Amino acid sequence: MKGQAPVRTTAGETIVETLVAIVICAFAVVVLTTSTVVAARLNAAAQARDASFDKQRLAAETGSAASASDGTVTIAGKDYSVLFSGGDAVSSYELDSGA
Amino acid sequence: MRMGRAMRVSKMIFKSKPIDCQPAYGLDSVRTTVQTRGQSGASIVIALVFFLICTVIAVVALNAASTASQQRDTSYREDEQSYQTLASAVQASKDIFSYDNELSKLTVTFSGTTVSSDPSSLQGQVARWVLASAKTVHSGGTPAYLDVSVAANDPYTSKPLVPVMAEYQMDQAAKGSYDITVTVSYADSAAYGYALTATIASSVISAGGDISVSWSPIGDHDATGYLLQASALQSQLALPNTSAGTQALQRAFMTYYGGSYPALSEEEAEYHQISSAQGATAFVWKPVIAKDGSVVLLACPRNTAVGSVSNVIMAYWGRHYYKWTSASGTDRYYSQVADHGFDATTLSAPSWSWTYWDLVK
Repeated sequence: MKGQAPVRTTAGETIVETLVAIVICAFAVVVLTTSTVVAARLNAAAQARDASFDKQRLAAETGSAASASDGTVTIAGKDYSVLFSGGDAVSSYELDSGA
Repeated sequence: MRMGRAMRVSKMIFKSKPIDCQPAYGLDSVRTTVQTRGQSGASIVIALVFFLICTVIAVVALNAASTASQQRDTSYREDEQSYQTLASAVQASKDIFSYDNELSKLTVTFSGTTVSSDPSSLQGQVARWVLASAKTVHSGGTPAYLDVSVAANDPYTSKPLVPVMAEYQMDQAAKGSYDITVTVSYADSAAYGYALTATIASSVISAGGDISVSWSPIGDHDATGYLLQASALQSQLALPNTSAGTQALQRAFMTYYGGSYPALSEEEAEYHQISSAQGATAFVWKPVIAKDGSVVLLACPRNTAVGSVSNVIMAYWGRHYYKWTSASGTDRYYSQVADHGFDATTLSAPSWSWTYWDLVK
């Protein structure tokens, strides 16, 4: 018998090894998929915030009256009426000519 | 027996024991060598490597997404807000010379060393400083700085903006210049160490040995200088409130400005939305003595002759611009005004007609 090649090779893996490998691979795919979805959501949220910020910044730079809000600025102890433009992320103001 | 050998092999892989390369004492040793070095039976190792790669990719993707978002949220937005706060403050510090009643009407007249304005009559700290500095510059001295705080509450966040400091300085770099420079910076310079500067131009009129100084109320240029000059000529020449007086004023005014009426600026032309085909220089400022004896500037076509009835599109009086407006918006854009008898009170009075003088700025 010794030195004679076996008819059916015994090399290979057990069912347990195969199942464990499948579980690990499945877990890896789940992790990758979940992280991809979360990253996409983060990017979408960041893009939405950026769009909102850019809109507010444009309004702040141009002094847009569309979103203007009344306010007050104190210069040398004297109050002046101002109009704020922008939003809660970025804002600017200018003296209210109608005051 | 078969399962027993397989279990031993798996145990060796999981525990990462050193590879046993013992010569063939039995079938177990041979199979161990094959499984750790060969392709067969390495699925768990491959799975672990795949898991590792997936984990690394996931961490990198999440880290990149969250880092980009946080960086934009914090640093960029704070920098933008700090700039907007400073820009707003410097513009407001300049614009109070237009909108503050005391500052916009402040005209300092020097008759030799005598100053017409009384400092005690001024209520505002900035107005008192302007008067004192103008006197110092007029006498050849170096005026002091004025530091004031600028504070505002943001209605969007209901929180105060970071307070800034405005420093006013009347620079006498050029003799006879009463221009004011305002520099705005953060009180805590360690946070944002930069500043923004604006200049408040002065209008200086010399007539008959007197010098009248006022500070431009609208933008970098307006008709204040022209109106002051026309008023100074009226006073200097003692012109009567008649048609002949108005015509004499117009001739003196043209002579002073090189033989023609001064043209409207581009900014002034935009107040009336003069078409580009006509152009701003197609219209000029012509002074008239109004019914009440005050001088009013009228924006007329360039070819307007002295002593005529003019098509007036806009008027400047009391540091304000008024444009002739039609309620229908299309039929008329000018009013025909004679050289004498113009009623300046109609400029500020509310109108119930279809055409009226509308306050532009």
